[in-house]
Amino acid sequence: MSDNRPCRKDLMNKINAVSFAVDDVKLFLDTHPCDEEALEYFNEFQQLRRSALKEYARYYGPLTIDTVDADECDRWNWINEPWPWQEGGC
Amino acid sequence: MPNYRYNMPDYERRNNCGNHPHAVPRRQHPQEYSTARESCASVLNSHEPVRNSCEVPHRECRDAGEMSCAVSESCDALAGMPLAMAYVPWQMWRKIYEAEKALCQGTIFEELDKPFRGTGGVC
Repeated sequence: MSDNRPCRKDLMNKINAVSFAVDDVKLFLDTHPCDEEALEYFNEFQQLRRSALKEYARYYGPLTIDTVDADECDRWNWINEPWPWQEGGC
Repeated sequence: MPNYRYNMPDYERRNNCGNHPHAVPRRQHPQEYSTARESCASVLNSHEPVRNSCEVPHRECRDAGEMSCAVSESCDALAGMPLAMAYVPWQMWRKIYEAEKALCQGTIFEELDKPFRGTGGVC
């Protein structure tokens, strides 16, 4: 693994921030389903969340099952890296 | 499971969809309810009377525990609304925090970022 990989904590912070934004706008959209600005915000932050999860998975292993890319290697790496709540995981 | 969320007549809905930006008039600044003492004082002082004659006598709160003080009808922002119903002003999409700040504050909406101080029975 490259030493130039981004800081794990920074990546987690980014994931947490954009994920929270997605969750909160989701609640707003439940009661404002036609709000174009909110829809635009949701799309933007959902994309940011996907990208952040993908980037984290690339360097530190998948956080969600959606970012497991089993085709890229010949073994199951889901349990290799420490989980975010474990020491060294975040 | 049936969806009861919109089980009301169209004219009572507060669905903005860009059509009713002023469907729910702003009646009371939420920060004015931040503490018990301030709440009564602000309600009594921050509104112009809507009627000239008040049948309910006006009196000031003497301490923070006196939450049941009678607010004169002329000063009640919800005067005229049916009793026992809850009213929530319609939220608009505005004043959105940056994502990092939103995570710290617990909301992406500046307008929902209330200055609760953890007093009144909360440690």
